Amino acid sequence: MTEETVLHIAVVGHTNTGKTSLLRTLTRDRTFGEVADSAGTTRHVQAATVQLDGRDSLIWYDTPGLEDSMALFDWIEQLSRPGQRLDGPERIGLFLRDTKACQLFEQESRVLAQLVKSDATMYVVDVRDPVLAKHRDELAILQMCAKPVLPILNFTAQAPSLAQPWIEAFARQGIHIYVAFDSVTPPSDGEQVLYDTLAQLLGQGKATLQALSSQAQTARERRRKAALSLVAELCVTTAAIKKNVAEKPSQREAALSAQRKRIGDLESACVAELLRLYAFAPDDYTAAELPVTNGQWQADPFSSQALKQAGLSLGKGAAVGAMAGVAVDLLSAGLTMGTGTLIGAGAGSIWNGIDRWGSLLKAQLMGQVQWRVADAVLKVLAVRNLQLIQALERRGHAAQSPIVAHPTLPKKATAGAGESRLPFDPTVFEAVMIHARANPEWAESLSNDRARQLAVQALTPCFEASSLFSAYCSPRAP
Amino acid sequence: MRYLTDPWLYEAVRLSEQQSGWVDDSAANQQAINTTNDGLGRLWSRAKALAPALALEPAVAKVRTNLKLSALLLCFVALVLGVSAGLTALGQAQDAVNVIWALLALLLVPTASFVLWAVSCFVPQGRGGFLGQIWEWLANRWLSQGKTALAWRAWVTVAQQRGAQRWWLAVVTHGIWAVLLIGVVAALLAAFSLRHYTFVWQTTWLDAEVFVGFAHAIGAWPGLLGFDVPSANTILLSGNAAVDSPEVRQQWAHWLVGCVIAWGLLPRLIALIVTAGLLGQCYRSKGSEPSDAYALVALARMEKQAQKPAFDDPSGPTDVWPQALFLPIQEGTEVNATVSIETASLDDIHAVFGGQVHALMRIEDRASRQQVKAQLQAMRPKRLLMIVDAQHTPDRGVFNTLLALTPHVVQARLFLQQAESKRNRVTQWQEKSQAVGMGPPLTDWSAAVQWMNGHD
Repeated sequence: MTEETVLHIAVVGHTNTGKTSLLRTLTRDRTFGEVADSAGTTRHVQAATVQLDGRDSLIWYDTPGLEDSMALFDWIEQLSRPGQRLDGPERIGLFLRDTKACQLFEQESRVLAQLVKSDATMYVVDVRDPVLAKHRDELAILQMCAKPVLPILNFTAQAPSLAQPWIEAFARQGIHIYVAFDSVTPPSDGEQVLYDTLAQLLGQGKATLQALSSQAQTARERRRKAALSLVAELCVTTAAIKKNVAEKPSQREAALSAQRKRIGDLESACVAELLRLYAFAPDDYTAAELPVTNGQWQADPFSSQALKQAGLSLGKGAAVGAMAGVAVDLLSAGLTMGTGTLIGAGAGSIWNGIDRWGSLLKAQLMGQVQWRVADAVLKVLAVRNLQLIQALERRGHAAQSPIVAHPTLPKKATAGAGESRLPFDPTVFEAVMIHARANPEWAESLSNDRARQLAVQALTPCFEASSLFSAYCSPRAP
Repeated sequence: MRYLTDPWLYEAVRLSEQQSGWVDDSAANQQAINTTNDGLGRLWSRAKALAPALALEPAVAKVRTNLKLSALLLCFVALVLGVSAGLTALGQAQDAVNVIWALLALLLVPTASFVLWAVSCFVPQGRGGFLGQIWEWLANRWLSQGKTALAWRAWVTVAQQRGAQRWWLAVVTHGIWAVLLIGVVAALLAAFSLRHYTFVWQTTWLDAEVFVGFAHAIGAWPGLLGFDVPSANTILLSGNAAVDSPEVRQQWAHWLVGCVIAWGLLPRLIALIVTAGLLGQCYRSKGSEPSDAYALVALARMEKQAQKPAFDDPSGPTDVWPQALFLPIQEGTEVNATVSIETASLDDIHAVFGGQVHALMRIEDRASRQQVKAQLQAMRPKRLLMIVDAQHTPDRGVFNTLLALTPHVVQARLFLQQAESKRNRVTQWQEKSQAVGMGPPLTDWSAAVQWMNGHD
């Protein structure tokens, strides 16, 4: 980086247009500032630093909302004495030196003081509001400060959107570049778009802004990859779970619920990791909306509802099996499902194969049944958590309502009734699951078997190519 | 081995935090932020700062000691084995030593295992040798409890990540074999120094020339290193019956020791040096920044901490809102009027009130505000209904406008025109209007009509 300069960008706007919300989303910090649906929630200028390679490179300034721009404009207008021809910055300078004005317009003067110190301004508007005279006055005052202004159309994703009148109002002030950025459901590449657009406006900060833009992109890609590999790991670990259970129904019930709990714990640990990765907190969920309370999944992956929620139309048999709680393959007398597993094991190593046969025989001799997690359950786990990642990627850190973790899957026109609509390639998934089943030691918490890592690495690209992550692009500003 | 401890500690802390949850890391993060700007460096120094609190440093030290101890134990066993192998191969001093037999006994197994190891180097999944695996198995046994198990897993993980695992095992394997062969050589030297041996080769059906050729071929390489090789004549003489001449005996002893050193010990030592070099290479580079979920979260935590929160000034007085200071006029005309601020049109108002009230123009900007104010001054109405849009956020500007109108009327009341959307902010308007001393706003058209008709 050739430039060592730090860019200062003030975020201004009318009161209650979501300036702090925007910064929460931009800084991925849901605790930044204070947010409420009310005027004057933010009462001072707060800085948020963005680092580039560990160095401060850009500082956002969250400012109090402008509330009385009409009176402010009048005040500034009357500052020039008859015969004086003052330009914008001179008038703003006069205003800021006027102690009485600064008392009267306490919040506005803070905003203007920050604005004249900054390199550029982002003017945030709530597109659900109509354009009013006070907004035009605000724009006129901003123009007086002689700094580049980038309007941000906030809450574009929510009805009613009155974006067009706003765009016209900006054009009247000679502002033709703007960015649509909904701080609750931001475009996935929103941060990049913002930096790129600012780079167009700010000649001296171009290099920094471009570096920030590519940093944002890299971070986004790394985050997704890490998230997907968490889910892949969850699937591999769950598939590896093996349990020998006595054939007595009473013992079987207890063992089954213990296994369910184990899988539930694995999943909630994965969810907690995902939330942490995307800088959300567990309370971004509410019990009413989501199956998580006290870290436990209420709707366990074995229920028919979970299957439905995940939008899976699995074969009837599998679904019925899952519903009845027979969620685990029964490796009972006839080696019903054993063949696939054993072939997988044999391909891995002969010893593993023998080992598998051995434990199977031992189980049979002792009158036990071997339990494994069913394919349907593994698919539910995968789909559900991939959907969670999708929801987290689309969620702004300003969002206050809980995550909708189960959006309906896009319907494929070609998919016939009853056909599985998995959002990823089932062949790779199943192959990895078979491999995982052949290696029960992978289910151990401290397992860092090289082959296990390879299995996780093989599954991650399969998830990456998922239709869940290809369809979503941001609508770029024209 | 520059980058052995830092990644090891990091990995141990990672496993520990992933297993038992994140620990309070603000001090550690601060230390890391102050140390470096580089992501990997920050992760390492964060781990280093956290390790004492997690009791991982003693665990790491214990693993280190245990690894060394197990290697030493194996070396000791190897030394004993080597010495006894050397002595066994020579047999009792009264019998002549069958040189070929003794050489095979001493070199066959080490050479075979060496060749196997060399072949395994070309297999991608190859391990580092059998003895190394025994060593790893021992470590797995010893280091299976609590924090030590964690530190040991961390060690293995780092070795795997850096592709160093097979070289570790190779170094241990070659080291142990080298010690064993040193034991053999030591035994041979001691035996030859202190006991009297004669040497023979024996055959039932092979030609004597085969032995001459064999001894010379195998002795050529030790010969280069300065070890005596018996002459063809000596070899021919030693067949089947020993020659008890000091020269011949010395030549054979030299030949035997030379062969063990040149074919057994030296290749092992060379392999040891080479694999140790390769092992060192694995830990020489710093490595790339990890991008798994744990690392990303830890980096984000540190970055967040690096962004010191900054404010301009302490918050100003919260009560900068205007107050209804001026008392409304006492006596007005009998006219009732309505005014709409940035919302209802005249048509809307006429639709509700008909012609009974005087509907003033809608206030939209500075000019209309001035005009309405002037009209009110002239009109002095008895009741004024001020209509605002409940969807708007009640701000200071609106209330300034409203309070500029009230001094010119006897009674003024706020009316909230609500839209069908959910964005009405009725409570906020109620609170703010109470705060400026305006009384509760009306929210219902019929109530508004009643109020305008004189009912309070």
